[in-house]
Amino acid sequence: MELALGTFPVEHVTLGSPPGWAGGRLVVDPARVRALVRDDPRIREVAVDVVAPGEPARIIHVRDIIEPRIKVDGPGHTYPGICGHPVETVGAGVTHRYAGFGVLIASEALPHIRRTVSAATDSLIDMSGPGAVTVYSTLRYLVLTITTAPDLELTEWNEALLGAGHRVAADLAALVRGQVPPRQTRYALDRPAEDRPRVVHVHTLNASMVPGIGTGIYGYTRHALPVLLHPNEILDGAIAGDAVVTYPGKCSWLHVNNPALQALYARDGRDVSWLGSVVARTRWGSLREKQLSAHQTVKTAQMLGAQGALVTWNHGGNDLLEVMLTIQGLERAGITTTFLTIESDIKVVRMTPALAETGSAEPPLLFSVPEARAIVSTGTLAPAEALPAMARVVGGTAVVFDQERPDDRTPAAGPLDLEALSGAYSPIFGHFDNYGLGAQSYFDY
Amino acid sequence: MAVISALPPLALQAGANRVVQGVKIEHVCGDPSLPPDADRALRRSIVEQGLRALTTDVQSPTVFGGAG
Repeated sequence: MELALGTFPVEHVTLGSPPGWAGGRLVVDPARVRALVRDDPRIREVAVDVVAPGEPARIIHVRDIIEPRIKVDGPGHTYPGICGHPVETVGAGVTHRYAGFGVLIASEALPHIRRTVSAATDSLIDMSGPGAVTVYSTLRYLVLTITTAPDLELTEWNEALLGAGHRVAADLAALVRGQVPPRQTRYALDRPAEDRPRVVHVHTLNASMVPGIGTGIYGYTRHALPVLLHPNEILDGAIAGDAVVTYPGKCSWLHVNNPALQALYARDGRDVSWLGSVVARTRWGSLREKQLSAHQTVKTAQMLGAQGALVTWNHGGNDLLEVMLTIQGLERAGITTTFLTIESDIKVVRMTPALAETGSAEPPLLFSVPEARAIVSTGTLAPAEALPAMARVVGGTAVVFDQERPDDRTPAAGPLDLEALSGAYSPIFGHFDNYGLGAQSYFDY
Repeated sequence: MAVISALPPLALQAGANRVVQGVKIEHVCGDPSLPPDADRALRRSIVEQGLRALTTDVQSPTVFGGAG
């Protein structure tokens, strides 16, 4: 399977007409975008905004971010299996993409959805200042602030928002369908060789306990036993998020830009042979299911002839149990593991120097096994200071920090002392940074 | 003390000495997918395991039952 990925960098975005991309400048026709979003009777209103890094801007009610990608040649459709796209296997041919740019879906969770889905929290992205600690503060956005009919049930609301975002993203990607990309990269796995260790990526992904939402594989969101993916499938959007859950590990932009894939591709054929990504779902409800998923993941790695495994996860909490059981099984099968992980004391919302030195009172990992001996930490993203007032707010006007108290609304433009306002988790989108994309390093801590 | 847990490995790592295997994270002490009589019997068996755990001397951390 070979994929030629053509990259069109976006260094400037303006609203205007006619739409097009030339020399890093993207022109977006707002009337056309509004018409595409409103091509769904479930959507009542949309506001279209452009936001750039470094601006005194705060984006709130972030639901998902989509990097526009289009299949120019070869089978299937980018972001397969969602929004009515076919489920045909992707990963071969030619795909074009924009770099440094995303279509951002913003919409406040409807009150009845807020009540029933604890993961449909309010999140925010600061484009400058002390809160700009995640990779999401470095992208340019076309923000679609969408108001839906108020009575949509959960899956309808998700489909309406996600469909609107993907219609716009596909339309923007079509602007560069026939153009020659400034940069083109060829992705193909090298044939395994005897003198290079065979390595598998154990790509564990949370599946939502609420049916119909969360991270999907070809749109399939339910818990299922592991599946082997070629990394090119992932680059074509085979793993994509919903428009409900705001936990950063499910963001669609993240999965096509996952640095673990780029790092493994950089080594494949040089000093390792990468066999592919075994995608195992996490957050099973019972111990036996967690054990079964771990056993089957280990078996798949063994049948592939793996000697080493890079283990990643995209969530937190009890998902770590099956991840650790998988690491234990791999090591016992003679497959050397390295685990890339956040530190689970993610409730840290302000990173003081003292806290950075000693950690919080919570254990950095909820659960561990003695076999997990090689662990790379991506840390705990949290700003050192309270967030200042922002001159511009996009996506809404007020945020709810406590899902249990939806009437307790804080104006989003003002200063936000997250430590005081947000007792549980940080509302900064991307604050748990499972693949190490954040702007902070040890020296910041 | 005995703790009923859907995930005994977590309970053991947290330092529990007597752990009773529960059903699932969503419903530790029963199973709403079962008919009422069967669910009642399951719940009773888990509670009885808990009582047995409380009245059993243990030399090291011990898991009771396998309802999950």
